Amino acid sequence: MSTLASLRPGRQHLFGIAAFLATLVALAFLLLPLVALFTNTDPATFIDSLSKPANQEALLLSLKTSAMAMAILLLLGTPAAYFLAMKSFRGRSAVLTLIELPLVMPPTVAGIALLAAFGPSGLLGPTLERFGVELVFQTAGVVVALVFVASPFYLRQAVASFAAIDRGLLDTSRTLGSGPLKTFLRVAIPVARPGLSTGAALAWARALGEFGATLLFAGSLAAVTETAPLAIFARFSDPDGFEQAIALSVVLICVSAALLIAVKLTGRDRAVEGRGL
Amino acid sequence: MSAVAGSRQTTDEGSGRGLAVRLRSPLRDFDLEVELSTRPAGRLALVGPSGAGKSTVLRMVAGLARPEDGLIEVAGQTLFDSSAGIDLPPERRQLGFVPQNATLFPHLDAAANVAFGVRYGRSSARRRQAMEMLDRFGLAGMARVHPAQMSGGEAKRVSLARALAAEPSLFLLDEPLSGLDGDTREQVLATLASALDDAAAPVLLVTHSPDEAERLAQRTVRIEKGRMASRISQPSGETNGTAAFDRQLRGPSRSGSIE
Repeated sequence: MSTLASLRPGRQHLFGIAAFLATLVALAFLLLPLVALFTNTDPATFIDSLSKPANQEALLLSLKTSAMAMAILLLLGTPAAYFLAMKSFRGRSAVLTLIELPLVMPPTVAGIALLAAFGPSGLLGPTLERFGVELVFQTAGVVVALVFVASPFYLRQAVASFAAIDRGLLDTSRTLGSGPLKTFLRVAIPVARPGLSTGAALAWARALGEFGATLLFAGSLAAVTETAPLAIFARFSDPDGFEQAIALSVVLICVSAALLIAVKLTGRDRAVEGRGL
Repeated sequence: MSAVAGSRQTTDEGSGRGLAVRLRSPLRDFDLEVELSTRPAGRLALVGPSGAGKSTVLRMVAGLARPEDGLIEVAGQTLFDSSAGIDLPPERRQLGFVPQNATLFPHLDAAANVAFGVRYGRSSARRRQAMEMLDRFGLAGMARVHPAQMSGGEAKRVSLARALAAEPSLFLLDEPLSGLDGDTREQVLATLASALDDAAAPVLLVTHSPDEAERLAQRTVRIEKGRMASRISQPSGETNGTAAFDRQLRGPSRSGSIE
């Protein structure tokens, strides 16, 4: 150690500088496009763009559909993740791999797959139609696409968080008179909460940015299926729409950043509270 | 055989409607086979080397592990009966279970941890009951403290208070004083003993400490490799160390006067 250090003080120093420079370049590369979004718009055009009803509708639709997708994901995904984390059964790892599949699936492929399953001539399409359920070119279709694409972000994290719970806590809860459901609600969910909210925030951010699957499965109908990312693409294709595309992008970035910050804050707060025992 | 002597004793005391336990189950390295009983509100200590199956007995009585065959009764109520197909889940066994490590709920403060197991009353009444029990263990000032900020000894005391506040019909204490030393241990031991007196429910205690066994329990059973090695010291069948240990456990006057 000492010989190395005495032989190469200069090189170590150089490496430190190089690593610092690499960090600077990486930061600049990541931040520049964000900064450019804000410098490329002035308050007047920004407000003007956002006051257009079509853009407001797109943003509202994005909020509405992603919130609905999150509600479905939390209600179904949380118990499912708990089940997968607690039970051991044959094929469990296969199931765990399966729920991660949408993560590596290109969004356009996801859209095609959803059409093949739930589209008018898809596997379940005729059945759904008989029950009066239409998804293609419908807001409900957007929600389906968002749930499909965003689910692994939540499920992965939720399974890991539940699996990390000390079984002794769950046992103790049972001996203190709380049945399986009460133990799930009163102990498992609160103890796993930091992981669950991280997963939920990531899933929500993914849902807000969803483009490919929504476009292919639900289409791009103003006020029905045209969410903010689809609207950004539509305005961008319009020769006069670039400012509007930028304004919508700025709003989407702010919402996503707010989600990320919220996650970091809850994580920090729990790091103090949840340590040990 | 000491096991035979033990089982005869079991039938005598089983009629008293205390705790009656008969378990038979293969474990990883040996078969577990025990028969235990107490009088109503009687207290029994399980001693023996680590890995002998003592904690497993507690977990089976708690309903957290399932014996292959056996019977568990508390005050005449059947918690488990393999022949009748009865197996109450842990939440219906009305237990005060103190596991070896404190297992406090990290998201709740001390008072909420203790109130967690209080079965009846409104939340304000449950919290008041929790506060009284914390106070008894000298933890009145800790009510709002979360487990992460507690020392090991404080956490242990909170978990004892939690089990007692639940007013169970059976106490299962796994090394209840581990992690405590010196004056604290002495105080907690005294508090626990008097609280258990008041609670008047049977106690099954696992311990390594002869002192703890003598002061918390009226009887001691030694378990080795899943079997009851002795209830009474039997010099012929045991090493000197064990016999001395048992003599120390029983004490000259205590076992005679209480049993």
